[in-house]
Amino acid sequence: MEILQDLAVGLSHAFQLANFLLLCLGILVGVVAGALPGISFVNAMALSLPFTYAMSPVLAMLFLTGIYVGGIFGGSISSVLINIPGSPGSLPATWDGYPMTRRGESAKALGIAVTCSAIGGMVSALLMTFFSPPFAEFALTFDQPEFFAATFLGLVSVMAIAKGEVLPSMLSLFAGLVVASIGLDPLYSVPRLTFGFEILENGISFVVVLIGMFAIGEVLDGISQRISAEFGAHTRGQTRLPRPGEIWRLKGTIARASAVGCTIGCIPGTGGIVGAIIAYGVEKQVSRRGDRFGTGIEEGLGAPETAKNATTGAATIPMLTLGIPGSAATAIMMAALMLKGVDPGPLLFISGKELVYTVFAGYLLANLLMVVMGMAVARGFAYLMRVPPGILYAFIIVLCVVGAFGVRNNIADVYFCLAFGVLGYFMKRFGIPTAPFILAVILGPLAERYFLTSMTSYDQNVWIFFTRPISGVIMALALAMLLWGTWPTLVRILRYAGGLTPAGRRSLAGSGRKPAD
Amino acid sequence: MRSLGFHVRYLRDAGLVGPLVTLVAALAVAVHLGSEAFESGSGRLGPFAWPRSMALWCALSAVVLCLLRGWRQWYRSRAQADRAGPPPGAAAPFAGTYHNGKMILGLAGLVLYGLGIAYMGFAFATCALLVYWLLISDVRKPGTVIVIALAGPVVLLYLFVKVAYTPLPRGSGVFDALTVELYRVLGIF
Repeated sequence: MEILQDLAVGLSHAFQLANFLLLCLGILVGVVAGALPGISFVNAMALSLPFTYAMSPVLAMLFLTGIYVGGIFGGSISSVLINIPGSPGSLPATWDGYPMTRRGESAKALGIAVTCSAIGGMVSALLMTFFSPPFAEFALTFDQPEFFAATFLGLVSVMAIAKGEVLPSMLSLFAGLVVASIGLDPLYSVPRLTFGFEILENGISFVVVLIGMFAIGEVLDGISQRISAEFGAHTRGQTRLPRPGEIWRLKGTIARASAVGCTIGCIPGTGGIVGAIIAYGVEKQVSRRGDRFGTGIEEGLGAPETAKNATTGAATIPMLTLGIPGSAATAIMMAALMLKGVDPGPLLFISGKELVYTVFAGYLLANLLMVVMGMAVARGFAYLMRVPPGILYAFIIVLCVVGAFGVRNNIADVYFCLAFGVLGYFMKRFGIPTAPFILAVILGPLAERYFLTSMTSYDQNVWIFFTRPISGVIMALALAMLLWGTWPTLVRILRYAGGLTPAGRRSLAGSGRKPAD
Repeated sequence: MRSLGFHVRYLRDAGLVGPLVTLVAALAVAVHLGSEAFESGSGRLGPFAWPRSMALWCALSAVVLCLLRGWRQWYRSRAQADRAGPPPGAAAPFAGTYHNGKMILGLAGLVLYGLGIAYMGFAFATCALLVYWLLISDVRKPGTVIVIALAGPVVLLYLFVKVAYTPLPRGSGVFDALTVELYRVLGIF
């Protein structure tokens, strides 16, 4: 009851004109920045940080909350419309969102994406409001093995979402893990795979790889496949909210994905991408249409969209209650608070109750407002896609270069970005998916650090990941997902190796369809 | 005696090029890491253990993928030989419908742009890239090309240099001086 009263006070603060307008502005900035390939909402938050210097803590937090909530959805607009994720968490939206666009259902896809995102975000905001203390306490019990297990689960989920291409996905994943290990190692600070170049000692930023592989690779693919003429043809300048019945049919998907997103989000260091991919993997296994995922199935779009935004509120829980940012975005929010002399932590719930509950109210409002603003920006973006593709491609390259340069203000990142773009193009051309590579580059450093620190802390005992209760449960889940995802491929390999029956020979001879590996 | 081109096409059509290149690269990385001083005589994992393991797993995946794809291509070839001609709809899955000329032009443009940014600076290199890219993308109306190539960099410079304070590369030598002059003319400095 007390929480409801505090929330009412927070809502009254959030509805004050200046606060409300700044929240709206933040959402708009976030959605636009998220939708532009190469400019992530995290970049937008970082660029907006200096603007918050002149604001009160409440204004600053509402502005950044708006960018965070709007931006994490905004990335899905470009995913759905042009198959280029605007932010890492929007990667799974390309798998079923873009096929829907190719079928001429972009309006429906965008409607599902924004509605599911808003519902996931609302659930997460409510969770944050009512369950902050126990959730923070739970995450506090995590040690290195649990963090490794959670990261391992994220990596393994690639197998479950491999759409019948498990071996190419594994190849791509391990190649990405090798690239992710470039630079100083996390324990001894010994340079690896740097070949004497100092710039490589800091590693290769995943943002640079992401921008290069998706945007530059897509541009090269577009120009060499002569699909230029149809590039914008799939997108229409229309958006529509899904009918209640359409959302009702996705109720199970939304419930599962919200649970996944909220759980993953409150684990520091994971974030939207892991939540979205795990939710996609879970939904693929659970859904009756799981075998058709990747061809434009509503559940395949709704699940990651819901989970992605469901991580936002959850990721804020450890930041507000413990002062541990769960993601880059919440780290920026924490920086904004600390610049104002406000220290996040348990005491904030006593000394800064109004601020905390205004932030909670801001999350709730932002997710509602995002539906309107997301649809408006998506509509404008769809019209933007009618511009001749040659012009769009040229500006995508330029924006990618600016985005890559902005990571560290270093020209080397531009070269890395272009090089990974070329690599991404050839991977696509030779039948190797790029998504696992990118996921590995994002999660690889975390996986390595948690693995090595776990081994060091627990006497090189590899069984520690299975004997501790929480990490054991997560590892069991990961192994089950691995087995589930690879089972069809294992069966196929056994048939190749042992059977060679007449039916097997006929199937191997092929009928011209792209075979699964 | 079959030509080299035949073997290259065979590898491409079988989808073996990617896995083979990855296999070679992964083995090279593993050998490179293995040849460097390996940490720890105390049984603890050294700094090269993780990347070397990942490279070896990568190589193993590449080997299995090569075997499966090669096996499949062999059966496909045999089936085609039995039928004395390609079966209907049996196009090689990795042959693709790519326009290599445009791909090479695109790649060349990217390389030149990368080099150009460092030497000519962002503003002039971007102007040149826009002209080049529009031309190879068949956008050839002179008015459109000129307006986009001139207005595009100006808008981007305002947005990123003036508003967002991103210190985009100004080039070297005469291009540095020209970029500074351009910034002055545009009111950015």
